[in-house]
Amino acid sequence: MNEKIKQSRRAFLKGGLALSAMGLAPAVLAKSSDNAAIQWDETFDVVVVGSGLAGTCAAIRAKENGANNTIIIEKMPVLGGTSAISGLNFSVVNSHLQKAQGIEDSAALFAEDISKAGGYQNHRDLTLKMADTTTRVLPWAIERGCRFHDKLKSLGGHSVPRTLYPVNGGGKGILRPLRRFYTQDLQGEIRRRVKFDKLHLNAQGEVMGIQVREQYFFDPNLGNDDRENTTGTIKHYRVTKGVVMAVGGYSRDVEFRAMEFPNIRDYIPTTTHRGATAGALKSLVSAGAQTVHLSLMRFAFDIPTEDLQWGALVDPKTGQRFISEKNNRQVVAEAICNIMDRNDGRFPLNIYDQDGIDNFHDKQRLHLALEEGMMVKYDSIEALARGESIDLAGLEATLKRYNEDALAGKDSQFGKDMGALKQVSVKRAPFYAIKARPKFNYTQGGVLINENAQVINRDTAQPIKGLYACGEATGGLFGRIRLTACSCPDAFAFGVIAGEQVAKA
Amino acid sequence: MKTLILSLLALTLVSSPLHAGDLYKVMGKREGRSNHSFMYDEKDCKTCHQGSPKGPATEAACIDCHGSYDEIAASTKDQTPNPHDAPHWGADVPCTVCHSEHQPAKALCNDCHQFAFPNFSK
Repeated sequence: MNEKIKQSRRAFLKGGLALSAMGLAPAVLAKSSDNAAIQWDETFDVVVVGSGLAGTCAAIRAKENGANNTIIIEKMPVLGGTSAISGLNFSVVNSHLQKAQGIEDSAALFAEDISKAGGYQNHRDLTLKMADTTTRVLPWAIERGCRFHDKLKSLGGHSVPRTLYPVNGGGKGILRPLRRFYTQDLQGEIRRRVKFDKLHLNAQGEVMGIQVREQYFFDPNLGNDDRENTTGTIKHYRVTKGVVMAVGGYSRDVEFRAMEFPNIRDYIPTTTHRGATAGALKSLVSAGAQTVHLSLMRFAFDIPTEDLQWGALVDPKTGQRFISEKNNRQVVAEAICNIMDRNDGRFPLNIYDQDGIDNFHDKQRLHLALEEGMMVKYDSIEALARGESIDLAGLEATLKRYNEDALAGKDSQFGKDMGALKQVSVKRAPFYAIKARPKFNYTQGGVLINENAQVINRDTAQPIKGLYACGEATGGLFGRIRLTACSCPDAFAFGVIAGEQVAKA
Repeated sequence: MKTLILSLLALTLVSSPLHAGDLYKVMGKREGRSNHSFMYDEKDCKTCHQGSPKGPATEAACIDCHGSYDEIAASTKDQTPNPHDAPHWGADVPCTVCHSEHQPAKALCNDCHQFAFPNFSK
């Protein structure tokens, strides 16, 4: 596999049609040579790769539909991937809560909201299928132990309130109950530290099984774990029905990021799980999968994007503002990446006064930031500039102008809607500073699937027999930017669909 | 064994400038944790490396001496947050994800959070 990746990377880096065509040749050869040599160690109906929300749903649904000999494999020592550490806000059409509150909603409206946010660059048939499937998945999830609050969140970009949120967060409220259901009620097996290496295809390009490494010890200190890690014992698992790739995104893969997103440097942080690398995606590409939207990404901040507006965002090197704080998350994040290219990789700072802090809409995340020391409180601007190493003269000049603008209700520099701030400025002590860290936390891209969660072959444009994918591993549902609270419904809906479809195979 | 650990821990705290669990040179350049000094004194690698000495230590070895995941979680239940019972995973994070014997360690929580964990041996 290592050699194959190197070859495809070389082809990718050099570019050019001729070289790309050469890059395909080794993959075809590998297929037939693999076939002759494989000694299967074990046989399963279904292997699900990845133990996050999508994979857990797929495995449960496969077993419930008769594929009893199903296992989940997980390369990491901990289960759940990024789902375990996500809030898992679940946007659902026609939930019991919407009905109780008399809220009119439809799959078409939900899909339209997503499409609008994504600049209509999404595969709308897939988006609609996901939106429609949420209606039946919610009661299914609740029956299997998931617990949600009895309130709906009304979130930006959603035409109506439709977002449920789990009790005690996504790990405890959704993922752990589902896993308990899978392992205890269904007697399902999960194997940790088993790394998916590659697919075994037959001469027709259909999936026969996979190569894995058991006793794999993921090493977060390696530059590229997928290529450099040599731990584990190679095994070959045969599948009679199929493989479900619920392998997540690739936001932690700094090497892959540098190729796909040249403007996102290695100092741009990520709070997805440690194993969110591109290795599985590369294996799918080698097996002929069509990719979509690989260079689209989504940022998150330590505080809600809506609360950036209450203060001034400044470059510590100059003390100057560089953008309207009220822009959407992508625009702010991209401006920060740009500024950091020019200031030796120093994070800009959001600076608030007490009035700004009092106006935060999300007090829970505000208090978390204060308790954990991400946000620091200062008695004076001088102390703040000293504590955060900001140019004091520059900062004072910036705040003077900012405060005058706030009073006048008009941003003379970047056109921020100061009127909406109700004259909140940065002048009443104490003052607060928090690094504006754009966290690279979601990748909209991945392999292309159809409405049955089957992976599409790039040469034939037909489904690859025996190969399914769901969740963040897939691309194209969202387009340019993913609407908030939509990765959870994606994982739920296409996880369930993948499990049902692979069981039928 | 657990009583032995506690008495050794007490001894280490009294007799050494190292804090329990600090890294120190045990053999050549190889570092280990001071609370395991009794094993290094006896050149005892197999207690932890139950397979090959070059292979990774098994968590079963940790559990043999320190107790099960549930017991460990109960022993730190008064800490906020409880590092052994995170809402994300419960008491189901293998020891070596956070703890490391021969090299610096990093608590998994702090990939995203900034918890202090004053008793954690980095």
